[in-house]
Amino acid sequence: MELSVPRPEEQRLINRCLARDKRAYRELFEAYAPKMLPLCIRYMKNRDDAEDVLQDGFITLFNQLGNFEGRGSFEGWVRRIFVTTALMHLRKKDPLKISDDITGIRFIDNGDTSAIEKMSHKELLELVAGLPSGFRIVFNLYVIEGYSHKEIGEMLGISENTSRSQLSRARLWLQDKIRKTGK
Amino acid sequence: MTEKEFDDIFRSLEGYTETPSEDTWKGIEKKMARRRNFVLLKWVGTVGAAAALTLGLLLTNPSGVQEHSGIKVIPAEEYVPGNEFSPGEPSRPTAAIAKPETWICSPGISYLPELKIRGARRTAATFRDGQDKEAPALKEKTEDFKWDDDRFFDNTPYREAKEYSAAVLDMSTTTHAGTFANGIVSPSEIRHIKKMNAFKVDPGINKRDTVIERKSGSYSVPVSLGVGAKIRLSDKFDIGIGVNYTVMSRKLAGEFNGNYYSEIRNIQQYIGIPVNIYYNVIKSDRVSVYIQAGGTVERGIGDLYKMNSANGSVLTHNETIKGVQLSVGAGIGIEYWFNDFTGIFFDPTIRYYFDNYQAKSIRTDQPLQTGFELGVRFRL
Repeated sequence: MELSVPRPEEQRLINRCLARDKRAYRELFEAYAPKMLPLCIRYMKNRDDAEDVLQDGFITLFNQLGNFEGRGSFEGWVRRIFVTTALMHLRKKDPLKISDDITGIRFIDNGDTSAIEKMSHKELLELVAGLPSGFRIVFNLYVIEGYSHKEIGEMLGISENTSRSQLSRARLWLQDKIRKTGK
Repeated sequence: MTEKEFDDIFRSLEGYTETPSEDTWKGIEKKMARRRNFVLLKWVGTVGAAAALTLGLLLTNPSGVQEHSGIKVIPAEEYVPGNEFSPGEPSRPTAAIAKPETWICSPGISYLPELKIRGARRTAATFRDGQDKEAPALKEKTEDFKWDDDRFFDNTPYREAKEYSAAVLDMSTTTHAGTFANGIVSPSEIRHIKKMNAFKVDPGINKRDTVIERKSGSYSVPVSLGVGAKIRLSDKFDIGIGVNYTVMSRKLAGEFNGNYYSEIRNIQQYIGIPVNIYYNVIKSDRVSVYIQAGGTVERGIGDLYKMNSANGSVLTHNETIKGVQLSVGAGIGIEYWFNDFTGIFFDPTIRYYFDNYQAKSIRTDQPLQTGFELGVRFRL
């Protein structure tokens, strides 16, 4: 299913939302919720929290639509709103202070990762969602959202090195999980 | 597998989609409704706070004498000194009578007689004629209550008073509210007078265009409409604050600008801020039954007289209501919630209205009232 809204149509939909057309709100939700839900699950670990973030994200989106200046991708702008909303929810839980138990994880350089190629998106999503919270946030921001370590550091209030360290450890954790799954 | 290849596999999640449950959209609608209500409540709260502040300032404003509340007017031409006192009604003095033709000159300029009443306690009756001059000392002698007619209607010239600080008498015992109207002073209850003594009387008090009540008629049931917010304190208790509008009317007969009207309708409107505590007796998702108690401060916003003349035309006249009306009440209530945040309520209550020198109404005649309030309520 193609969920991307063509640009002129996208602008019309935004305009209708700005005119407080309730059907337009629903249409915007139906267009972007299927893409934003997996994003929320990746950050929030469980589906209930993810749906909560999804709701808050859409409310923020509806209220902030007037600030979209039409530069760049609308979807990219929407995605940033949901990432920010997810981070705000996580910040309430102070995730970076959560003790992440990584005892027993060891890096396997060029190890057997064939199992990952057989994994469905749903399984990959579950794998990412299962990451300890500190690793999960940095892995999502760097690998999937494409932020740099500098940007991540500014967003989370940590140093670039800490971001790099968290990312490396996230990869190790995932490799270990995949290796165990493949056995 | 390289690190990049490893990351690329996970990067493919960017395009992965999953359909949320229908409850997600319902949750968004619910949260948006709550946000709208919150915005509305902030607006109502701001208006309420401003109104409360205004009422608070009015409450402490020393110029709050109600010029016609509880009017019991005895026309100057009908006044016979001492006739107001009957054996069954020993406490209904009329303190000052003016010669009508000398009273009203122009707005802001009044004539007041220098007066002396035997049997009444002296009060702050000072009249200004370029400079303050204290009224003659009055002697208290409640057992032998007589007017010093000679002193009252002596040849002391009436002096022009461009400004005066107070013109009230402190009588010992009485039962009716005292007031001022058309230059005729009818002071009464000591507690009224004591409060009046603290006020500065509005120079415009001697207005000619004041309705003079000759005959009281029937009262209509007061009706209130309100908007309120309810804050949950516990499962059983809530506290509520809001804004309400009350309208009440009565029929009377009387004079206006020298003409007699046998049918006058007086319509009064008040805006109030009620604060109540609620105890929930029955509570479900949609319906609550509760008992409640609290207080309300109200400010009159309209006091309209509609006078029907013989030729069928209707003459209207507005009075200003000064001061505030305070009351306490208790009752039962029922509310129906359309959703988690918005509902309607119906509160039958019994309420006591304190004597705050308000315009004559069913509240001043019967301070203990039963009534009901109907309105919209928001839950925080």
